[in-house]
Amino acid sequence: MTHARVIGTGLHAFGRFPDLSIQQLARVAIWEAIHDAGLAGPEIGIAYVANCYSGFFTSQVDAVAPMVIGHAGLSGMPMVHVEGGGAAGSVAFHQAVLAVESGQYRVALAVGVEKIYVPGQPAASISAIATSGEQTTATQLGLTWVADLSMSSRRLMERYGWTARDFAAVAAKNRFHGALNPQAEVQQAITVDDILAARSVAPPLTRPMCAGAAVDGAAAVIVTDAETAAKLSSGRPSPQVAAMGVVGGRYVSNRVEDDRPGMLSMDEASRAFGLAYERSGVNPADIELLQVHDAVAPEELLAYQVVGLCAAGEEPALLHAGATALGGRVPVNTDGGLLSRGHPIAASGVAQVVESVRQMRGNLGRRQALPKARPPRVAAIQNAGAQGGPSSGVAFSAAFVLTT
Amino acid sequence: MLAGHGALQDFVVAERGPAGFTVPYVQSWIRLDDGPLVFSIIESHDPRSFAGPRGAPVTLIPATFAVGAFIGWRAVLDGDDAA
Repeated sequence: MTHARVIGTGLHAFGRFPDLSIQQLARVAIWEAIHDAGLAGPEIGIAYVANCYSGFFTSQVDAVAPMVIGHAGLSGMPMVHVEGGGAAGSVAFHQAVLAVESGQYRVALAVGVEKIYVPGQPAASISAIATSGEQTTATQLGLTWVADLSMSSRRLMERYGWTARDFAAVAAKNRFHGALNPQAEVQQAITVDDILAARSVAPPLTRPMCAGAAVDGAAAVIVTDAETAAKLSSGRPSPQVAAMGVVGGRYVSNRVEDDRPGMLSMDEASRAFGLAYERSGVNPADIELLQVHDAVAPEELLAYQVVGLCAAGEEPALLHAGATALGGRVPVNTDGGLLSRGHPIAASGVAQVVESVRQMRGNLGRRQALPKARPPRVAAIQNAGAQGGPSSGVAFSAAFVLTT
Repeated sequence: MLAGHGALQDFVVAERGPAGFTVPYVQSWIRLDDGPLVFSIIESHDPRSFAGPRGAPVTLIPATFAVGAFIGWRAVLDGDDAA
């Protein structure tokens, strides 16, 4: 099997764009990716469109893919809509890679696009995001993602001795990275003390420790085979997808055993990375760049452990030593992550690929990661999303390893 | 049929909620006496000061929610008159 390669990346800035439709946001990202790849458009053999809340906000439940792809001026290729909560973008990327590696398609497009911001109605955004969980529990009984994550976070504090200050340090690092990213939702750095003193969302989490619920944006990548990549690359690195490890959790509405922290347990991510390492031959010590799903700050600390950057309990030491910041041994969430780059749900997974590829090409200026005095050659991505039910596992947990 | 009685396993005072919910409110996981773990809002006169504690006995009370015709439950700490 030949490994697929990523030859094009595109983004519409993340933020609040009440006057733009998902089609308008996606078109910008799609065409930037096509041009970046050195293509003209018609070469795309299949297109995957990740979007979660178009149905919630506009009643456009079906036909999302042809609306987005058609508005971009593309036609003739199969157009597939995928969902999956915070992992929706990873679902699209996974499918695009499989399409190319199957030999059925030479060029595949994966685009993630989302609009969640509603002027003056923050609760509407929370209601939309709640549809990525079980409805009877979320929208009707009142469970919110961030409250459940906060309860899980407190269990982790008890288990590992983590503190709210550790969580604040994660957020401060990612806000520092986001301040260097002109396409990030939040581009202002903030101190640990200011994060601790910020408005409480659900203790111990303050507002800067949580990804915003009301963000719009789009991200796109073009995936192709090695032969096509070689023709188009003109000497520029085209990272290959060395391995994908994708697993799901289990649906247990009424879980009997007391093994929460539930959503934050990342059991699935451990299995996903086990597969990705086995299939790629890459070891945790080889990772030079990492993007993780930091919907709340504690998730990033847990990811250090799951990806294998350090032993359980040593995550804060790794963080405070600067190892995971720009300039460190393995920079994490170099675009600001969900906390600062922003989390327009279905766009996030694709944006992680975009950031990884751009870093591996090595022309990001002040934001460029140079873990070994050169652009990273081995990058990993962790992403997960779509909760089946209360305290059950995630539907789609992804580990991707890219190499140049 | 569930027992309708259990112990407070985890809780948090949420300062933000979906449309139709008045904040702050207490979100919780309750371990029912007959085994299952269920999510419930805790009724409280003063949600922001709610302090549990974990393990406190709670009773689930039937509730009809404004969203559609959904019938679910809310919970109160045993001995609290918030119901």
